[in-house]
Amino acid sequence: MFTRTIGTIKAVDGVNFSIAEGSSFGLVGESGSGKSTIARVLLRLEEPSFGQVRFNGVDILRLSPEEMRRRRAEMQIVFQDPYASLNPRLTVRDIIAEPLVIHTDLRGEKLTARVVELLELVNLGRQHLYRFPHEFSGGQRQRIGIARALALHPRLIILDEPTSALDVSVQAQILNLLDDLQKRLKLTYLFISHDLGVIRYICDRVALIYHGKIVEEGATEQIFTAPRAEYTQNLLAAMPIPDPDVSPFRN
Amino acid sequence: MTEQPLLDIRNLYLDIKTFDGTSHVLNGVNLTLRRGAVMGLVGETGCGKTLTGLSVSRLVATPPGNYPRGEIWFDGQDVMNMSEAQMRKLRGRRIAMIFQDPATNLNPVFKISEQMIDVALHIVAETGDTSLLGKSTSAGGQRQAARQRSIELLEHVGIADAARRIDGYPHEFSGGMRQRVLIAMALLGQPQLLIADEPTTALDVSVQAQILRLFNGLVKEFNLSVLLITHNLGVVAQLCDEVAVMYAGNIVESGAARRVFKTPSHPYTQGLLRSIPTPQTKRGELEGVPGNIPNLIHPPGGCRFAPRCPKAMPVCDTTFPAMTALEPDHQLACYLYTKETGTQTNADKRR
Repeated sequence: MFTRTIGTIKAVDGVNFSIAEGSSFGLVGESGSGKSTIARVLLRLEEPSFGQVRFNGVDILRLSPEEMRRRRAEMQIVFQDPYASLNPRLTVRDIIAEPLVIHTDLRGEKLTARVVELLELVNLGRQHLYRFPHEFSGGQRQRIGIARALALHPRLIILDEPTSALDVSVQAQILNLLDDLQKRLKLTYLFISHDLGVIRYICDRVALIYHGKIVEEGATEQIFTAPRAEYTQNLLAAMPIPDPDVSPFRN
Repeated sequence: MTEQPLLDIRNLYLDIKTFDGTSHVLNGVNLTLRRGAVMGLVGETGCGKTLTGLSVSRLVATPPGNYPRGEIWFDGQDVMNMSEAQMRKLRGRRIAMIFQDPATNLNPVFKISEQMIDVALHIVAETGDTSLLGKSTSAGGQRQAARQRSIELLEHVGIADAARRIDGYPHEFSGGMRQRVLIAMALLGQPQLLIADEPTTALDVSVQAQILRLFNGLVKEFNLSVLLITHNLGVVAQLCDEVAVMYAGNIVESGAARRVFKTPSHPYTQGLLRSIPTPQTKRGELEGVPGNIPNLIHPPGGCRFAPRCPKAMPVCDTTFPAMTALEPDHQLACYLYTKETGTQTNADKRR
């Protein structure tokens, strides 16, 4: 009733990048830069005004809703907030089983067995099956979210700030888990983060996005050791390093 | 003779009643803040760093809170035994606080000017000290003086065109600008102690860097002492002279920032620092700290870190280790370094 369009925002503006199978691609930007919008477009949770998204050679923007639904099994997402992304009224078994019920014929004991397998993959276990999300710590919840994302043997996982809500000691555990899973399951990651340290640790290639545009893209080492764009240089300089000797405020 | 510290927390315990039982959230906290120092209080979720900060301003409601033991001395005054009326003269005046989320700490329906003037006039009414408003003023001119002082402070914290912007509403300011407004508001009372609880956590890194730079300047200009509560070790390393590392209700290691960062000695501090990826960390080699934080309703009996500690010994399960000085500027609560267990100190190691 009270809506009127007062203008349009180019949230993402002419972005091009590609991710090689089995690699980790980092997308770095500050709030409002458009990095999460890109993730949503890749999953077609948002329809772009213009452009192509080719997954395994197929432009997924041209797929019918039914074809897209099937394709989504291969592309999964893990969200930032492990408190908001798990349904508080479902048990862990039902949360992880949900994609399997939608996309596969697994039911009953076989379904539960697959859920246990997935829990073990993320270093949880059978004893956690019938608990509810509130009984878990933030790090454990994020493991549950990862197990759910792995349920359908995806090829691409979009990780949208997966460790931003976690304490550093727990973040380290999750980063190691993600690295381990990538090697074992040959996963491809699109890792979205504002934390340059984390991106440097986990990604092969990095793109920096600012106001919906990619300002620099390249191999991780090259971006971090010889950044060309001014924006990248500023962002790297702003990163607080846990070493008192490199503080900009000390002599 | 050493000078009297501005803030001295001695053996502070705090219990909080919850539906599940009594949570022993502070377990004998000892912390000394020198005048003019910037101290980082670091720790992870639930370690009690925020409650320590709130306790200094006596902002923990009792009940459900209860302080069975401990003392807090601010500028030679016994905070724990002050009346609420005495506390009001300290709070917002000599002890100022700013918090994590600048959006929720400003009232969205009032202009910045109204909110700042209210604070200024309140402080003047509580303390009777009109000098806070700058030049001495008659009662009727106080409002105008408070507005003028607010504009000066806003300019000081880097808000351009403050005379016009002061009549804006909070939603017209970005996150970083709102945090600047709150800093200006905190400075209205000319505080000696600023308690900043995760002041940059909600901000982007480039904005965070600006706010840290602002802090660094204000500390010197206003002769502030700062207790910076944060989980971000990078922020502490950049800004703080001293650091106290907290785990599950205890300070486990404290001292000069350079000392603690260069020779972290408590296994928890070591684990925390090893959890942060550095440019040299190879993929898959990040160590982290295994396990989870303990339940504080039934905390571990001895050292609360012992269940996660890679170097735990039988003695660690008995009582919490006393704080011992490794060096004049480096204290530690860990049996690995106490004389009784016959193990090394830094001085031993050097031999």
